[in-house]
Amino acid sequence: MGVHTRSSASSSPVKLKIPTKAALPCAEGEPYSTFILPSNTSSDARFVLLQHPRDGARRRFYFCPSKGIYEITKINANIRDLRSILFTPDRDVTTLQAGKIEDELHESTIIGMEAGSSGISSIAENRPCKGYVNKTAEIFVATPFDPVFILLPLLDQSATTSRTQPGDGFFRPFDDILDEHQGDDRHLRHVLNDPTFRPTLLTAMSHVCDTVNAGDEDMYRLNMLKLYSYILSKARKAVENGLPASMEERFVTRSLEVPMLGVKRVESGVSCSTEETDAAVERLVPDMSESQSSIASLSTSASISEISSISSATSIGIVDHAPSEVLCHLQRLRTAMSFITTSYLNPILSTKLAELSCDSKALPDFAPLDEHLQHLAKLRAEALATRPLSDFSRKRNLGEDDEAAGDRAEKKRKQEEDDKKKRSQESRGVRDLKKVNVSGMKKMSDFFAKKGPTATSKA
Amino acid sequence: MPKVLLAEVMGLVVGSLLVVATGMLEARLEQASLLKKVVDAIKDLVQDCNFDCNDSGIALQAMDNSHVALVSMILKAESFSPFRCDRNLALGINLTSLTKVLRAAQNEDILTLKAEDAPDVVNLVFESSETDRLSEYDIKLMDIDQEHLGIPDTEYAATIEMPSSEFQRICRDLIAMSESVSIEASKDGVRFSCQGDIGSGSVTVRQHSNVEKPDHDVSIQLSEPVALTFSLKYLVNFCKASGLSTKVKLCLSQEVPLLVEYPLAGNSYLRFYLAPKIGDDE
Repeated sequence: MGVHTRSSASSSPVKLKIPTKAALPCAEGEPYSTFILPSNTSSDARFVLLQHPRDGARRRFYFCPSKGIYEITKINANIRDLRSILFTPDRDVTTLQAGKIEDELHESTIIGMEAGSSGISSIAENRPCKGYVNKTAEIFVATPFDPVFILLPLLDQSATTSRTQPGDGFFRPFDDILDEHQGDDRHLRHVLNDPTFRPTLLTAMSHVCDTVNAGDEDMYRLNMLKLYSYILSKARKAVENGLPASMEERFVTRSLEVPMLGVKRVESGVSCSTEETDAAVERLVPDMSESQSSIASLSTSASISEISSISSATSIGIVDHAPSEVLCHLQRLRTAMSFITTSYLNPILSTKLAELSCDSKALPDFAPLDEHLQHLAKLRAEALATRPLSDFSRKRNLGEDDEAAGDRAEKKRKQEEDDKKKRSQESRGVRDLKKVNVSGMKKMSDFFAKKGPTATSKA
Repeated sequence: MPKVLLAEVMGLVVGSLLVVATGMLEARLEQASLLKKVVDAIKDLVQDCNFDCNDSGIALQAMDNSHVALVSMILKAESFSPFRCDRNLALGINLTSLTKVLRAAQNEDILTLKAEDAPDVVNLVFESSETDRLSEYDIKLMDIDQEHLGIPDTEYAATIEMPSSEFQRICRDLIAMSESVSIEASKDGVRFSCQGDIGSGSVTVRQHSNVEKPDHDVSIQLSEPVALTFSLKYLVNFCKASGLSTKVKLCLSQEVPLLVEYPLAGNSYLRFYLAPKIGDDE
């Protein structure tokens, strides 16, 4: 599993080119993959296959004993125009230069041009491995990965399933915990047993575990409260640095903006978003946006609470009033936490954490946010109750269950069938007469007296 | 003697049995075209209606869907040869279906209507005298609840008799301008006028007699001036009966439905009544 890297001295992160399975000799047959890896890693750095803490699936990580674990993320989906990558040789620097080709049809031309401009007639010389076009424009980026998340599954399993309270369970020495789970996993064993990496692991353990010093070695036990505050501190850091723009826009700004339309009816939009943990991240994210947008919509129809009055007054962005700012901060924090727990914790653990966030009073206080959300939910219910007066389609949805709706649909269908049949029985003239404006015309029975069925009725 | 009496009674019984066997109604029209034209004229006004048959002939009364117009038809027994109806019968017929069947008849065909007592179907037989072709159709009957209105004989303030084609032309010309027409009858004549989006127009007819072409005569009898407004769409609809008669009679009185009558041979007639438009609109 050796990694062949040729990194430039100056820039970091450095563009590297390595064969997929570190098998240079067969490079001609196998397509190259492009990685962006941290520079200055030790020579022991390896690609490893580890179980992802979220779902237990084996993913590829990049492990350097001195620098830690890196998660590999593939980037290609959202770059639409990027179809392939062109590498051209450079005489002076050993680093391979990456160029992008938008249209593969012009590949050869571009290679020729770039080679010419860099002063090398590489095509003409026809040396091996000169120009290289990678058909798939994927780039793999290694991003730092907290070893806590790798350890958590071990700790959680070792702390037996029966325990419910944080702090229960047995204190165990670190090596016992490791031994229990790594037996069948060569890659995991490689990571955990690396002597250089061990201090990092121990620090990680101390972040989330109670420790007891038993003679010459420390004993560890998972503490949910510690785990919670550890993740919370991560979330805080994320909020301090600012959430990614898309996240901020989707979960914070938008939740306080006035949505124009497309409000989905989600009951109890208060906390289902953050507590929902069974769902995969992909599924959960839209859920959150929905419930939160519905909350925000509430605020538009409400006119009493401070939140609503503020948020409905702005269509541009977040207001700088104090209560709203506090709320925004809590919202961001919650968003960040739910992202971390849904991305890196297994469902059981994240459920436990969610419970903890509700129960514990010692922890940073989401109560104002919850209060507001509940208040808004109440207002929303009131708004719904008054809405039918002005919005008949909603009234129909709200007021009737599926069965009644089904009945009506059936009736309507029958009626339509009957109408169709009837229509085929009437002439065009009769149909046309129906459209005639008969306003101001009295009925015949106003002029002529009714006789009842005539004497000529059936014998 | 008693035996003779008994035999006579028996004979009566047998006779009435025979009548039942051969049917309750048998009406033979020399020309199928009469029924064809009548049904064509009504079918665009009325969807289903009862043909009421009794010994004096076949009568029909029906209103359009909006109940602002009424059609009344009587085909007297004299129009048929022969006509026999032993008991009163109401034949509820969908006019669209009847039109479909009547399309199968040539105008010159001899048409015979037949129905039994308490019938499920009415039977139509078309005979071509030229080719001895005989075709026979049954139409399923339907139960129609229709209220009959008693129409009294009215003295109208104005009675206009004119060629049916002239009336048809007036209606068709004016509907291009507006949806409704005002008919004003005065001693100067009868003025059909209308006012529409694109402008206005009017046609005036006067008393007129042509010895060479009596069909073109126009006669106006007026007891007092009348001015009424009517829906042209309905009038145009009535005019589909123009083929039945060369003449049409318009009878008007204030506040009373207009009567449009197409006289038929043998005291038979086809009459349309239309409620006037009252109010400011148009």
